[in-house]
Amino acid sequence: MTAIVLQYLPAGTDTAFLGIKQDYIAIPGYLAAFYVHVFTGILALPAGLTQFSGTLRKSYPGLHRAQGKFYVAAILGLAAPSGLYIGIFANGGPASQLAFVLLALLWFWTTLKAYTTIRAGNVRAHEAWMLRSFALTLSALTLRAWKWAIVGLFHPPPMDVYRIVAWLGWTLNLAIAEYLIFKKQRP
Amino acid sequence: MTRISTVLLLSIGLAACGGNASKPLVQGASTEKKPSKPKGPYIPEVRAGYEGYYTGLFEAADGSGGHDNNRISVRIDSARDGKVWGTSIVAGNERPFTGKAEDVGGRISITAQEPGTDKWDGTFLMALDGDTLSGRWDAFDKGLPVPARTYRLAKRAFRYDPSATFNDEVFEGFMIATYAESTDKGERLSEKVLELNPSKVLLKSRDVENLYKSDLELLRNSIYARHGYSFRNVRMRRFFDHYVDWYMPVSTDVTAQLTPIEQKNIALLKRYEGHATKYYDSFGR
Repeated sequence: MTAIVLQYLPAGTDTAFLGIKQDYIAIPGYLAAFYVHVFTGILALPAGLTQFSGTLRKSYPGLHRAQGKFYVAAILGLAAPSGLYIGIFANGGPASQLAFVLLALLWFWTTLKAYTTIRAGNVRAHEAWMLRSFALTLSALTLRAWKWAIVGLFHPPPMDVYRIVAWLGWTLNLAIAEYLIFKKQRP
Repeated sequence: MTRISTVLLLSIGLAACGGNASKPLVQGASTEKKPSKPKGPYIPEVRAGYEGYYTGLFEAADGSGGHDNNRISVRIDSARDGKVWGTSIVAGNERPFTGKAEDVGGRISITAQEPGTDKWDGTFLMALDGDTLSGRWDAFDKGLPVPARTYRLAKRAFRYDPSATFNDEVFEGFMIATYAESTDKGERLSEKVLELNPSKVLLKSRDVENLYKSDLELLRNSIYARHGYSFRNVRMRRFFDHYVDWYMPVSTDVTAQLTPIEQKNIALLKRYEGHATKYYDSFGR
């Protein structure tokens, strides 16, 4: 994932994904939003390594809080709003545009809820919302993994693959998160 | 300044022509407007009666060619006083030849040599009977993989036809032409290649974003093929040489002939081809 992000350095208008976004790069703010999304979105991923560990949370509560604030700020301030903006111009037409817009809105909302619940001292709700939020964060990886697997197995035309993974990339993650929450918080 | 120099030029012209007012005026005008270079491949002037293009397969004399037999076009450029000048265009290689032509009872017998400065140069021994030019070709270098070839070419005028497209046979033909031993597979095309004509319609991202790399490559090269480009790319050469009836090679550089629509479509298709090559089956978008 780091390699995928690093290919955009130095920032150009023609690199990788942008190569097939030439109709959009002239739209005011598109390129800026794209780069903001790429470089801040990746900051949210490392949270998964530390934040769900019970021992780390107990031994270093300060680290948990600092890392958590960083995660929330990166998503709410930068990665989700920029994702929403570029999602409006997603390749593949209304089907994938809706998928990415919805993903951005849910990402923002679940992360916001995770923050407000812990500020209110509700650890149980915070844990559930964080699981949802991080499931959506992980779509950065799962979307690409699905694409790789589907192309390898069935070789569909490229934009068909894109429409499929635009949905598959995060809905399944969210379903798994709901299942984990259900299992964990069962009375 | 331009006006002054034109007037000056005209007056000089007038003086030189001794008072014939109409001629220098025309001359003056023609110095300002350069006549545009004629578009399209070279079409020889017909004098001896058999100048023009002859096209067909250039087959290995030992019968080993199969798909590697390329389509050749032989162009008779000029013939007079028992001499003949021409050009052969095959596999992205355009070579001049000169030789002797002899009329033997209505059949024209030609012996001609390519310059010998290219690895693939050789000698043509041809007989022209009506509209059929047949014979053999022997390489100067006997060490070449295929040192001798035979051919039976039909006379055919070249015409750029932007409407020339593919039919249902394209799918099987492309699969055979692109067969690779390493994968034991040929490349599949999607039905869309029958609908899109990049020589006539300006394509948009939406038209090409769901195409396979092979589709994109075929569409882009169809532009060059319509202009009679002789392909160096083996896969494209096999395909167009063997499976496209309207195709004939007439040139190794058609860039000057491309229309503005074609130029834009080439750029778009190439962009998507590049993306497909790098990213279609990789972890990424």
